Amino acid sequence: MNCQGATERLTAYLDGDLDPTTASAVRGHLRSCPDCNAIATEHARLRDALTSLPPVEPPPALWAGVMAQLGAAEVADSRRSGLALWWQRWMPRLVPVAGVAAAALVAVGVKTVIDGRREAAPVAMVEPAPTRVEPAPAPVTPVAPVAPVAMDVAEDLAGDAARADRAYAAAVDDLMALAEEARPTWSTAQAQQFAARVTVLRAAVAAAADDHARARAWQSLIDFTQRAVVGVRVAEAQ
Amino acid sequence: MTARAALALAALLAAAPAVAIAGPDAGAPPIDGVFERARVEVAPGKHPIHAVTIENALGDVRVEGHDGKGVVILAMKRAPDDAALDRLRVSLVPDPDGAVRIVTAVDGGREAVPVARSAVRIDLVIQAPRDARVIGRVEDGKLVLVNMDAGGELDTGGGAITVENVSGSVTTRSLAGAQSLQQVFGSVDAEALDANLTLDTIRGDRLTAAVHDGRIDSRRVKSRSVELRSTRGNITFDGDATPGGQLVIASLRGDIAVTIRTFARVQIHTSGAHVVAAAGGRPIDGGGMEYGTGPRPTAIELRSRFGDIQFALVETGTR
Repeated sequence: MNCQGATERLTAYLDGDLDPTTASAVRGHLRSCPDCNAIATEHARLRDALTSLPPVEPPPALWAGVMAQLGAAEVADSRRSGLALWWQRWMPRLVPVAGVAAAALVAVGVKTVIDGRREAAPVAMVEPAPTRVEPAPAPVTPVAPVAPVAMDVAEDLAGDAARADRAYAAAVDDLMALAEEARPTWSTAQAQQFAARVTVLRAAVAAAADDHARARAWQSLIDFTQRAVVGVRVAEAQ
Repeated sequence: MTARAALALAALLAAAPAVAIAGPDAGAPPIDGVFERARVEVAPGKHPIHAVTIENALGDVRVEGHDGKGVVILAMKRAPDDAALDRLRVSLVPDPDGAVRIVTAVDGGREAVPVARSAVRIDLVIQAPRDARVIGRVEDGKLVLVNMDAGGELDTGGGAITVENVSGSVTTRSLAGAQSLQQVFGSVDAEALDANLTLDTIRGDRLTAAVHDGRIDSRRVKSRSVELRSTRGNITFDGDATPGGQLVIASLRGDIAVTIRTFARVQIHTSGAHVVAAAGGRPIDGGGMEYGTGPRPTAIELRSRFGDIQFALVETGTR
C-alpha cells in the first residue's frame, strides 16, 4: 500500500471500519512510513480532542425558531387551493412512478440501438470509470457558538518560560539597536569591549541550566546594555 | 517534620474541604463555578522557619508577617467545575532545616477535559514569621509582601508587585507588572521590562531601580548609593543626599526631575537636552557644580540624552 492509499483509508482505519486485511495493510504502512504515521497520530489526537468535548445542547431559541417556521408553513398551507394541496400530496408518490416509466423507455430505446449495432459490428466491453459517490451533505443545525478552549491550562503554564524569553529577547534587541546609535560616541576600545562583554552575556543566557538561571542571565545582559545605552559608567562597565 | 507528615499536609492542602476562613483576595476576578478553601498550619521543627518559598503561576500570593513561629497557609482554588477543581494542586514541602516551600500546579493528562487558564485560579495568603525571608514567584497574579523583617526576592511575569513595611534586602523583578515599594528598610534592587516603579520611603544602604520602558517615581529616599535607570521613561527623585554617597539617575529618552534634601556638600554633573539646575552652585572641574559645604560630598550624576533635566536643592539646615 502506498501513501495515497493509506491516507485515503486513514479515517476508516482509526474508526475501526476497515476489514482486517485492509486494516493490516494500513497498519503496516504506518509502521514503515513516518510521514503517514505523523498524519495518523495527528488525526487520532484531533479525534480524541473532539470526542472529549462536552455534548452541545441546542439553545432554547433554536427550537422556538423551528416551531415558528413550522407554524408559518402550516398557515401557508391553509391558504392554498384544493388542487395545489392535492398536487403537493401526490407529487412525492408520482415522482418514483414517473422515474421508473422514464427508465423503462430509455432501456427499451437503448436495447433497440444496441441490437441494431450488434448486427453491424461486435461491441467491445468497456469497464465503467470508477466514480466516487459523495454522500449528500448532512443538514447543518445551527447551534450557539461554544467558546473553544484553545489551550489547556497545563499547556499554557508550560509556555510561560518561552514567553518570558521572548520578552527578554525583544528588550535586548531594542537595547542593541539603541546601542548602535550610541556607538559613535564610544572609543574603539570601548566598542570592542562592549561587543566582547555582550558575547559573554549572551553565551550565559544560552548556557543557563534552568528557567530561573536563564532569567537571571537575561537580566544581566539587559542591565549591562542599558547602562551602556543611557551612558552610565560605560567606561567602568567596559 | 517527617516526610510522611509533609505528604499528609500536602494531601490535606490539595483536597481538604472548605473551612471557614476569609477569602485570600476579595479583589480577584470572579470565576463562575466551584471553589474550595483550605487552611493549613506548618509548625516549626527542630529549627525555626527561616525561609518561605512560594511558586504560584495560577493566581495571587500575599505574604504577611506575623508574630507566630509557624506558617499559616490559606488557599482558595476556583474552577468551572469539580473535575477542573480536582486538577488544581497546592503542594507543601517543609524542610527540617527550617525552609518551607509551597508550589501550585495543575494535573495534566490526555484524559483531562481542557480548561482555559483564565478559568481557574489558586490564590494564596501566607502568614509567616517576620524573620523569615520570602522568595515568591507568580506569573500574572499579584504578589504582595507586607510586614516582614528579613526581606525577600519577588518575581512576576505580568503581575504587580507590592512591598510594604519590610526590613531587609528586597529584590524585585517583573516583566510587565507594576511595582510599588513602600517603607522598605534595607537595600532595594528593583527591575522591570515594561512597567512603572513607585518607590516611597526607602531607607537602606543601596537602591537600584531599572526599567526598560516605564517610569520611576521615587520619594522620601535615603540611601547611600542610589542608581535609577530607564531607557524610555521619566524619572523623578525626591530624597536625601548622604555624605560620601552617590546618586546616579539616567534615562535615554525620558525627563529627569530631582529634588535633593541635604545639609551636606553635593557635587553634581548633568548631561541632558535641556538642563535646569538649582541656583547658587559653584563650578568645579569636569564641568560640574558644587553646592553646600562639608568634608565628604555626595556625588550626583544626572543624564538624559534626549530628555530634560531639572535639579532642585532643598537645604534642610539640620545635621
